[in-house]
Amino acid sequence: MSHRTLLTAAGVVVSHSHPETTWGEFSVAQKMSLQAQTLADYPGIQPVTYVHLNHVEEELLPTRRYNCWGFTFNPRQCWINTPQDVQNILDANGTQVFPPNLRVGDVVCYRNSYGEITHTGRVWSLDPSGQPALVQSKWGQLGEYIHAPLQVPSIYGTNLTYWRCTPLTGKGDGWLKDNTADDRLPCPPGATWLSPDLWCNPSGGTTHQDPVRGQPTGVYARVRNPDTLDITHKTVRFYWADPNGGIPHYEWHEIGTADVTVGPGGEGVAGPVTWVPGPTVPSHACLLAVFDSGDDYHAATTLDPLVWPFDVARDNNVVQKNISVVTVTRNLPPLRLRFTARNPLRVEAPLEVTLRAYPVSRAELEGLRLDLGSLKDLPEPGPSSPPGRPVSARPGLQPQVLPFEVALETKDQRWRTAGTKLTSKEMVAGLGKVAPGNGGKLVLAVAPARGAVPGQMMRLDLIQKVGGTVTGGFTYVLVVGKS
Amino acid sequence: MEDLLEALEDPQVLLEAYAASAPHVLRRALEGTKALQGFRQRADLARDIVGRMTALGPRADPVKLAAHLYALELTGATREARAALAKVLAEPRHRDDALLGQFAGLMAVRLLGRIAPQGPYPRLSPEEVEKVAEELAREVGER
Repeated sequence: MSHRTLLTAAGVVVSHSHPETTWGEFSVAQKMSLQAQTLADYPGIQPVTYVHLNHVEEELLPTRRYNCWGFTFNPRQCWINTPQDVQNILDANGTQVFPPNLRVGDVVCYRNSYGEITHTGRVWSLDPSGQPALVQSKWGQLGEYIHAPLQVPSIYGTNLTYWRCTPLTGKGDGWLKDNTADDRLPCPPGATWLSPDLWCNPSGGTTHQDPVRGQPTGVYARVRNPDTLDITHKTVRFYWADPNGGIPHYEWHEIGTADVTVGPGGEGVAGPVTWVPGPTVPSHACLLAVFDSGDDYHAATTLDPLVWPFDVARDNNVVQKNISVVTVTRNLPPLRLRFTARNPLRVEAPLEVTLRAYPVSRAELEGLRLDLGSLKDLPEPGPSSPPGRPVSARPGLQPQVLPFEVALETKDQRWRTAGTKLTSKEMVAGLGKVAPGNGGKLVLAVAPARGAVPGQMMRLDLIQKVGGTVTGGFTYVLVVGKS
Repeated sequence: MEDLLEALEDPQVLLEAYAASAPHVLRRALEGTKALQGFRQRADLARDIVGRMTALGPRADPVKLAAHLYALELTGATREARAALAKVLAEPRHRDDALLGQFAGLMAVRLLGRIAPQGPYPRLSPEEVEKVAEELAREVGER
């Protein structure tokens, strides 16, 4: 229970309460009965499951502790009292957005035929045309559900508007950036696996060096505190995982934890946590971190609870660093890069992986806060350097010149691709519909193109989409090494 | 008759009301619940409704309490409705509740023939709820 002062960006107080202190909480039997009734009356809606950091899963059953507005604007911590509070939040913190320019995580506001605000939730997914496909919301005193936008109690009405809302002040918000463009809101644009706020460095530096099996390194995270409340002795949890585009929570392997304290408006570094990658850690591993302010989302001590645990893109407490700098030399066999595609969702959905190649400069890599010490002995090719292999471009774009050849070597016959070589800037490999937790492995054989010179570089992104939504990816920076 | 009264405590019947986050949504949910419309002009059921409501106790489910109040309003038995409202609003915890306190307060304003607050989301301040509660208590006590 919290008795904080929640403020909109205009400084207006958001009235909220804790009805469970007045009425008591539903009994377990009441919760189960209301849940069963709701699921029976609204076939197709999915109950929301919260995965605790100890990997115990909990279905979010009916509760009096928070309502739809509480879920949307101060997740799971309180009952926001009136639709006028919601209107005040939308007025001060919101910008109305319209399909197809929606983002997963945008607020959806329901009004009835009288124009009254009745309900809010968050966009859970979008269809390929940018229309909201699913919404996550808490139904009054009932449970939390993922549902089609109009698959809701009729009293909510059918007038839906969409809003991109900045967080309220006074609820606490420790966060880490998913990428340099992250705006603190769910699902920022760009690759969400390139956090500048998570890095490994064996000598205390602030740039990221790929961890090396058997060699000690330090793991760090930068926590930002834009709120007015202190972050005092909270925890950052560090994990590794196989290079993967959708990592189920049970495949996050804990490295260790570090304490962090950050004053209002400040930043603080958690770490180093010493890590010696063991024999089971792949040579190019994912690095993950969770800012854990408490795993009990109802507790008064939990400032800024996790809303979507283990969900890098949605939750701004969770970040990932999936980038490796790999030097490939011409006189050696092609380097094999492995990537596991996995459906992390709870529903069967089509899965595809896009391979996208870009030329990249050292300046861009410095922007990604990568340690470029391994490149110091290599020349930095200028614009007059001999080209690599030219590849076709999409209509209207200049032809691209890429210094590497990339071939798909996987023996898994289920992958459907337009060919086995990356012959244009982009190539898509699809698996069709995949059950939750299932997927397949991709193996890419990478070799310098004819004419490529030492020091030339290429960025290769593997972007995994499940049901049309990006669920993760991995970025390789390939460098032509000396023969 | 028993079926009708039991509807007031049946979560299956009241499911949409449980999905309400605000008093105006709760009211529209109850108005849209077909099973409750059977109370219309059934003043003969008012005493039974009050009896069942009393049996629910002070920490009763707010949705069930609201359903009983709404049913009383439908019966047209204003005396029983005022008495029941007075009882609910006499309890500070009920009065201060964002859902039931406002639902009952606005219903009391209507029953007392007062002018309801204006605006898109009519809402009574804590002082206004208390004033309405006192007025109701006085009126009920005078009888």
